[in-house]
Amino acid sequence: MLTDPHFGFIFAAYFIAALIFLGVSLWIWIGHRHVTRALDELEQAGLRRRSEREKE
Amino acid sequence: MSIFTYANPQRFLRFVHYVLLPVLLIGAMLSAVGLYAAFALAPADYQQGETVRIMYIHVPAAWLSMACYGLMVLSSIGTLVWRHPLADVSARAMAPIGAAFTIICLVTGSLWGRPMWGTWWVWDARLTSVLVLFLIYCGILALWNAFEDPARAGRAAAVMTLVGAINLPIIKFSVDWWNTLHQSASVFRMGGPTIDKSMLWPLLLVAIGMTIVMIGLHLAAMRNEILARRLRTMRVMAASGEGHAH
Amino acid sequence: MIAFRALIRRDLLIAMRMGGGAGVGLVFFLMLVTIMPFAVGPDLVLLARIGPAILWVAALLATLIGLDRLFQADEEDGSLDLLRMAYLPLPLVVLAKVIAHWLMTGLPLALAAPFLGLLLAMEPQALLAVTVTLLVGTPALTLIGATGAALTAGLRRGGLILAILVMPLMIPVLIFGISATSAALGGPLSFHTPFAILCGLGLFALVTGTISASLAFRASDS
Repeated sequence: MLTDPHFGFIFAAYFIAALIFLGVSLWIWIGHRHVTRALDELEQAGLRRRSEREKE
Repeated sequence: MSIFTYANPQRFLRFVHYVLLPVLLIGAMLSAVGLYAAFALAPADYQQGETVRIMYIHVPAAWLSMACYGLMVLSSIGTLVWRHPLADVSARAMAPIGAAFTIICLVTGSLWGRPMWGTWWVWDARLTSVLVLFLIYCGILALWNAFEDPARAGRAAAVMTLVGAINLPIIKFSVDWWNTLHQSASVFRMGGPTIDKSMLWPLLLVAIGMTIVMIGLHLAAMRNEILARRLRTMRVMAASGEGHAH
Repeated sequence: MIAFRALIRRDLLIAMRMGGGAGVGLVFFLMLVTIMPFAVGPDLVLLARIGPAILWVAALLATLIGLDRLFQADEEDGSLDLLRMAYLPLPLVVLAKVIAHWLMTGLPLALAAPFLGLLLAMEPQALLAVTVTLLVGTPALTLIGATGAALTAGLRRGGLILAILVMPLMIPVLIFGISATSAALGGPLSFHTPFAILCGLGLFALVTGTISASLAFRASDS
C-alpha cells in the first residue's frame, strides 16, 4: 500500500480526519478542565449553589 | 424509567461520570478493529485501487453528519414541546460535533475525488448538499453564540434547527434537479454499484464504533455545557452578593 | 381581515413617511448589477448569457440586506408586543408585515429588473422571464427570510447572522428561478415545469415561513 501512487491522498485523508477529531476532543477536554477549575475556585471563595445551601 | 429520569442535571452528571469512559473506550476499540480490518483484511478495489480505503473514514463521517443533525432535531423538539431542561443542552453540545463530522466528510471526499475524478471538487448533487448542510450547521452555531441568555439562545436555535430540517429535503431535491440540468462531462460512480461483503463489514464496524464515540463526545460536551451554565449563574450570584454560605 | 389590512396600511405608511428603505434597496440592486461587468469584463455576449444569474443573485442580496428591518423597528418600540396581544393570529401578523415589506422592497426590485437587464444586453424574452420569475421569487425569498428576521429581531447586530441563517434556505428558490428563466430562452425543458415548482416553493414558504416566524417569536418569550 505504501507504494500506491495515491498513498499521499489516503494518508492525508486519515491525517486531517484525525486532526479534526482530536481537535474536537481536545476542545471538549480543555473546556471541562476550565469549567471545573472555575467552579472549584468559586466554591473555595465560599460560594454555594442554592440547592446545597438549603441542606446545611 | 424514561428519558425524564435523567432530566435532573445532577443525576445526569452522575450518569455521565460513570458511563463516559466505558462508552469512549468501547467506541474507540470498535473503530480501531474496523480500521485494522479496513487496511489489513479488506481488499483493494479493482477499479480504484488502494484509494478506496478513504471510504472507511468518509462514509462513517457522512453518516454521522446526518445522524448528529437528526439528534439535534429530536433535541429541538424536546426544547420546544416539552421544554425539557436537558434538551437544549443536548442540541448545543451536538452542533459543533456535527459540524466537525461534516467537515471531515467534505475534506476526505475532496481528497478521494482528486485522484479518482481528477479534481478537488465537483458540483455534484451529493457533495453540494453536504456543503449546504455544513452551512446550516454554521448558521446554527452563529445563532447560538449571538445570544447572551442560553435559554433564549436554545429556543432560537431549536426553531432554526427545525426549519433547517424541513428545508433539507427540498434543498436536496433542488440540487438534484439543478445537477441533472447542468450534467457535467465527468460521469462517475461512487464506490461502484454494490459493495462487496469483504468491504462492508469493516465499514459497518467503523461506522458503529464512531457512532459510539460520537455519543461519548456528546455526553462529555453536554456535561461541559451544564457546568458552564452553573458557572454562569454562580458568577451572577457572586456579583449580586448572594450565595455565600456564611 | 380589517385588522390585517390595517396592519399592512400602517406598515406601508410608516415606510413611506420614513423614506429611505425601499429606495436604498433599489440603489443597492443597481450597484450590484453595475459592478458585475467590471468583474467579468464588458463582453456583451457573455453578459447577456449570465444576465439572468446576475439579476437573480443581485435581487437575492438586495432582499437580504433589507430583511433585518422587517421586525426590528416594531421590536424596539414595543409595538410587536402589542401586535402579539391582538386577536389577529400571529402568523397573519407576520404575513401582513411580510406583504408590506415586500411591496416596499421586493416588488420594486422585480419591476426594475427588466431595465437593468437592458444594461446587460439581455433579450426581450429573457427580460420577461426574469421579471416574471422575480415577481414570484422575491415574495418567497422574503417569506423564507421572515423566520431569520424573527429569530434575530432582538439582536443588536443580527444582520449578518440573519444572512448566514437564511441564505442556505434560499438556494431552492434561486435554482428554480434561474432554471425557469433559462428554460424560457430555449432548452430541453419547458418554462412551465420549473416555474410551477417555483410557485410551489413560494406557497410552501408562505405556510412554513409565517408559522416558523411566529414560532420564533413565541420561543423568545421567557
